Amino acid sequence: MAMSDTIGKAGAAGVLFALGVAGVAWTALDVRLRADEAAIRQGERARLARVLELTDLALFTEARYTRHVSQSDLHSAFQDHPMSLDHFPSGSLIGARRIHPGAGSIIGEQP
Amino acid sequence: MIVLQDITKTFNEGADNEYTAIHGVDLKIDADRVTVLRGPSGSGKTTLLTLIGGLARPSSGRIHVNGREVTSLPERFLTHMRREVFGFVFQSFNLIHGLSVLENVMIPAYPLGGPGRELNARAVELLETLRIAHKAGTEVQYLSGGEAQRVAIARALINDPPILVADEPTANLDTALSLEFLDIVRELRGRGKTVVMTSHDPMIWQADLVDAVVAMRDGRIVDSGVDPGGEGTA
Amino acid sequence: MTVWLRRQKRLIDYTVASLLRRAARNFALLAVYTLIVFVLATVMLFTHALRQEAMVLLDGAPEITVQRISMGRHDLIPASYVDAIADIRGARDVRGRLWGYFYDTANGANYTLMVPDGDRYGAAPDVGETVAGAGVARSRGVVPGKYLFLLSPRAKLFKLKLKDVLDADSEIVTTDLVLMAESDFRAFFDVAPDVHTDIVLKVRNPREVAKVAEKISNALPDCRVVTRGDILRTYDSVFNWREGILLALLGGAIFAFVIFAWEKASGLSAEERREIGILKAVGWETSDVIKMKMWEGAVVSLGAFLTGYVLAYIHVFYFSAGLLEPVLKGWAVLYPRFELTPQVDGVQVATLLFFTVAPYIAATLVPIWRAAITDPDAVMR
Repeated sequence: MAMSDTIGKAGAAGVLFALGVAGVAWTALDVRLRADEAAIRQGERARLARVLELTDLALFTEARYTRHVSQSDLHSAFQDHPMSLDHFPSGSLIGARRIHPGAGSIIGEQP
Repeated sequence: MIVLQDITKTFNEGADNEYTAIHGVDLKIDADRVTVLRGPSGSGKTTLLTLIGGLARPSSGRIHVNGREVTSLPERFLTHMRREVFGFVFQSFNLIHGLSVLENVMIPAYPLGGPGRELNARAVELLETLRIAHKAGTEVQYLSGGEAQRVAIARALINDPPILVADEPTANLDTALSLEFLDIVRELRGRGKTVVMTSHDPMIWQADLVDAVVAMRDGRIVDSGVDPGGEGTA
Repeated sequence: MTVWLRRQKRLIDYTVASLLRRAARNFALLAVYTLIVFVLATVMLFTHALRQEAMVLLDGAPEITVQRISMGRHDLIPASYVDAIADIRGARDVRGRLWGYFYDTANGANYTLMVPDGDRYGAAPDVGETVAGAGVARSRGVVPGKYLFLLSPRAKLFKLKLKDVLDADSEIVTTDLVLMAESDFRAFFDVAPDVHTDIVLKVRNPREVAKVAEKISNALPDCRVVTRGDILRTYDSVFNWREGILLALLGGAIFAFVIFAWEKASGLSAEERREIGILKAVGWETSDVIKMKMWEGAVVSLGAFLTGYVLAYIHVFYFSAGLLEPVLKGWAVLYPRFELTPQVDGVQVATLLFFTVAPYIAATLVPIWRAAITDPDAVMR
């Protein structure tokens, strides 16, 4: 029987593998265990964001166009010239503001 | 019994550097006997040994092992033969460095998937028989020449093959160790194993336990079945 | 079956023993590989959780925000626009907002100064008072009851009593806020009484948001309209993989894999070839050699994946992705302390598994054809 074999190197590898799989399973379990408490706290955050009418995450406070990504005009990322590079590091982290087509939301921005 | 019929081996066939190592060799090797292929280097004895042991195929001719024609067998069967019919001891031993003595000995048995305990016990027993068991946990690159050879022999015997094939077994050994090797061969012969080896060492082919000496030169047999010891005939 | 199992066990035995031979080299390889998985998994888990967070938190954002654009920049919006928008069918609760950026010379941080809507926010500060985000209070070392001194753009010192600090748990949206009364705000920035920063409104029927937005655009051609949908879409695509540093990370990871693959593919050294020759000479089939190599790839890549992924999870959800902080912070002085809601997306994990494990195993198998053509008699030469 394979089970009666000495543990050996394959056995040790198997144990480590099982540990790793257990680790991944733990992450899934941890998500569930923390879900309720996290949802309550997130709900509280959401309430505050709603009453203060906040539109953006305060993740990048270094520049106008990164602090309020959704409110910035399309050109502020380039500041003065469309070809000029981002000065602020977080400017290279976030995507360009997405324009909602059809709602006329870009009207008024055309030169 | 191993029978070779009109065996030819040509390397790099069709190329500029084409060269024929074995020219139409016919040979019979008896079972349960010790046979030595002797000859100067370049005589083709090692090439002939690889053909006998199924490590390579002849360019033409037929080889029968225990009555079975093996030259036309598919690679899979040659592998089985190498694993279960032949045990090999290479000139430079060809142990796998970095692994322990015990691990090296067990390698040929790995693909068989036998029970681990049994395999372990068999390997330890072989090492004990060959008086090298105290080095079981040592990595093979730290062994002396004599020790490495005994490990190589243990590895060759792990699947209990009926035929042991050895290429220049004493080339890397001094006289005392060569005598020890002959003792091992004597014991194997006593246990009914067939031993085929190459050697240009007179100490080997003049040994009294050798049943047959096949002399080779330039890829041809110049003298077959010489019996210097007078003990049994080919 | 047991023979098959024991065979695999033997092959793994051999693989592990053979990996341990060059232990330092192979552990270094494993460490680098784990690090790559760790970085990719961290970015993946972090951006996913952050996106989810943004979706939940910004779901309460104003349905429509109207900004006035002048010469390609934001401009203050006249109070008369509020009435103009209120006249549009479907628009309700139209309100002018006041908010702006302030660079604090005292600590080099940027704040968002804002006037909250007293009807919505119960704890709105009175004149001479302020409610600040936790990041502001922290970086200025102010506690409730003490004063926050701000030097206005017109070089006038404002003394605001810190009434309260916004819940630290909400830092991800509030860390840099400085809430103040309208009169204080106007005096601070010297803003005329008849203008606002922008205008927000609700739409009676949520399905008519696009319609109302279009009407506003038509009625006020110098204005830009941002809908809540736009905001959510913006954050849904934030940290797009094609951008800047993420592309660099991805590129780096791909590059590392290429090196791995190359190392593996060309890595069948003379020594390794000799080893395969020996294995074949002593009776291993080519398929045994291939299986052994596959196990080797599986042991290394699964080991790296499992370790890297679990470490990344702990990093992101227990240490707030602390190692990413310098990257995310940039030049900013204020950086929110936040704990993301743990999120694991099975599909993402499977994708990560596939893209980190599969190429490695494939790369391990590449040199096998060479093993297949290695003649067992090579070891005799």
